[in-house]
Amino acid sequence: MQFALLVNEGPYQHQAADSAWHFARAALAKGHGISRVFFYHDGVYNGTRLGVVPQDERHIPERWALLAKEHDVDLVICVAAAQRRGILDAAESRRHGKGADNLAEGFRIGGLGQLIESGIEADRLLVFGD
Amino acid sequence: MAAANKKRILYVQRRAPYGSLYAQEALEMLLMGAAFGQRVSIAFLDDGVFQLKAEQAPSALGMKNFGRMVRALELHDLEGIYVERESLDERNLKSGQLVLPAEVVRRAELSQLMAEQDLVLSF
Repeated sequence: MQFALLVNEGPYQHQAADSAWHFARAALAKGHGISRVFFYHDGVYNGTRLGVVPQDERHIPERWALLAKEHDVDLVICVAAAQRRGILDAAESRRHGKGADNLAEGFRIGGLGQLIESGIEADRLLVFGD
Repeated sequence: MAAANKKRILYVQRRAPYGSLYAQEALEMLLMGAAFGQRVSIAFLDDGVFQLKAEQAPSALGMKNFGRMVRALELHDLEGIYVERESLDERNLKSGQLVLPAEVVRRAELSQLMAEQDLVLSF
């Protein structure tokens, strides 16, 4: 089965990001596909590359990136939600005249169209949120 | 896209409008998604019914009037705008106090409506 995931909460503070990642791994291990993970609301914080995590703790953005690389998963951060919260890739940063960008490797900025597309094309869209 | 291929998408608004960004971003998602030509509905329940209340005055909070954003729903070709009877009653709200004429449905009907969807997005 082809799954798409929607993650609506930030890392560490809330279980949703962990649950989504564990679900993705379990589904992939069973031979299912994860076409895309879309991050909305505070979920966009999953895609910051400026997080400095204690060495004995899981690094959630890196964990997403590794999963994406190994299984060709499209990690999409919603542009509108990300701009509000200060998550910018290099192009968005330039466009808004900001001096820095902070999108983690493996993620890309996209629009809500990508979420709707996933909802239409995937067999199931699962929401991980509060 | 032929009608038979269109997905039925129900947005479920469960939270009050100003204490968090869920309601506003959910509405933004719906309004963006409405352009994709699917069969879209929205339901207001639990504290989400407060989003529909007339005479919201959030200017002192420095926030946009959510009631006005909700009224924009009427400009879109939605399949339905529903509000749950029990949630209104539990909060002593009357259907006449709402910013738009939502269809008042019972909890059991709403559950049936959810079962009929291809996609339920709850906020």
